[in-house]
Amino acid sequence: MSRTTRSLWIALGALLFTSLSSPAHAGHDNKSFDPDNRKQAVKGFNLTTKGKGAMEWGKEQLERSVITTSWGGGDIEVHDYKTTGVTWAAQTRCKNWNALWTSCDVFTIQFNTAHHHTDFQWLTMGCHEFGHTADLGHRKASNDTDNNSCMRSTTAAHYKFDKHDLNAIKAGT
Amino acid sequence: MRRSKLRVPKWGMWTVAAVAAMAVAGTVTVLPSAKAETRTLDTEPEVVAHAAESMEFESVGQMAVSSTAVVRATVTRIEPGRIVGADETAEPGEESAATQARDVTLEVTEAFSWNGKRTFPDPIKVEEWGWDASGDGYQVNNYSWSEVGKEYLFFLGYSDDPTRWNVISTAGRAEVTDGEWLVSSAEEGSAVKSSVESYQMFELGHYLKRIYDTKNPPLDMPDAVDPPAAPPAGYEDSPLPTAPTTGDPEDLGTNDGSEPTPYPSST
Repeated sequence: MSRTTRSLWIALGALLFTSLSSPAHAGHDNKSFDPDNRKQAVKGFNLTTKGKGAMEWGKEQLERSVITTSWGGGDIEVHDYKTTGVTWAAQTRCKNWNALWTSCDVFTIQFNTAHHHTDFQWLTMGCHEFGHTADLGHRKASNDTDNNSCMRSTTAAHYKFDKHDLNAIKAGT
Repeated sequence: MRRSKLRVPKWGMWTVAAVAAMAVAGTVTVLPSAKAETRTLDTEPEVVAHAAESMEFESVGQMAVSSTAVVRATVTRIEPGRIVGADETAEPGEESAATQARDVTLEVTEAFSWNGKRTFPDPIKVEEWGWDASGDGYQVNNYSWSEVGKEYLFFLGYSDDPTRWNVISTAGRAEVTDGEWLVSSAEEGSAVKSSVESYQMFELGHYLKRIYDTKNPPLDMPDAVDPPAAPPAGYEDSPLPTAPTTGDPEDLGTNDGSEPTPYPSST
């Protein structure tokens, strides 16, 4: 066994260890989540009426994209409960990654019922969080000059995806 | 028959197998059952939770006038904090989606508040998030986990407990570097991040003293942003409209600043 070959095997082992165990989850960009496929099942857990409405609206918005949705567990899990002491209205995080940590198998969406939101804002929150499950990140005023995307960083946004969001979902999933 | 040069040597197989086993064991350690009493809490965030904020600041001055106080502090201790959502998130027999905060203890070295009235003689605690029901660590937006021994500037929201405070938003912390520069927790590309990071600490200290001095307010005093209000009782139980009547703004399509690549939506 040459020294070069031995070095290559050691490097392969180190690479494998790094890719499987790093908390930095190699394989995604740490800024948005790739869903593991374009068929997403949605399930709500003990939702308030507002939370249920936001979930249904978010699912409907996702249906406008290349992603098809159904009701059931295993892909997008939606919860709402009070988290006081924070100012965020809703959040999305990956609960379970696929085996290679390159895309998200199960998402958690969490609406925060500790704050008062208008009906319009609840719709925006639904669209926004479901957008995160489709690999969309936050947009800024400079790249949403017509103010018609739900993916702006606050609840003061529009309640639908715009054409750009739909194109980005198509390109990113 | 000539053997392939890519034949795996016996010791090499064992090396790869051992490393894979270690990696799988590590995954098991950080992804145990959802039972809080048996789970292992991550020591660093493994995922970013993308959150929609209720408050948006255009500048560091606006964030300051919206805060109760701003403190420069060193982190001395971090420990698991409260658990929320344990009862609301699971059907019988199903996994909870509860989350747990991190309690961050701060030794305050400098404080800025309206007319200098707030003092912090004792250590205070702020909350950060957090861990999910499996013990997996997550950070919210660009607000990474604070580290013991590091120095930060915290913009504090209202609190009626003098020892426990909340950071005003995920944009409300800045790390103070060795060179007294500031690294904001606000989202990349945001106006408030640029504003915070345009100051060195001593310059920002002077500015904060100016805007918190109500007898001599600066001419360009920014307007405060109101925090989100508590909901009225029972409001969660009224349905949302099924067909919003609000008119849609004109969709400029590819002319809204988002082209040529679709990926501004992924920043």
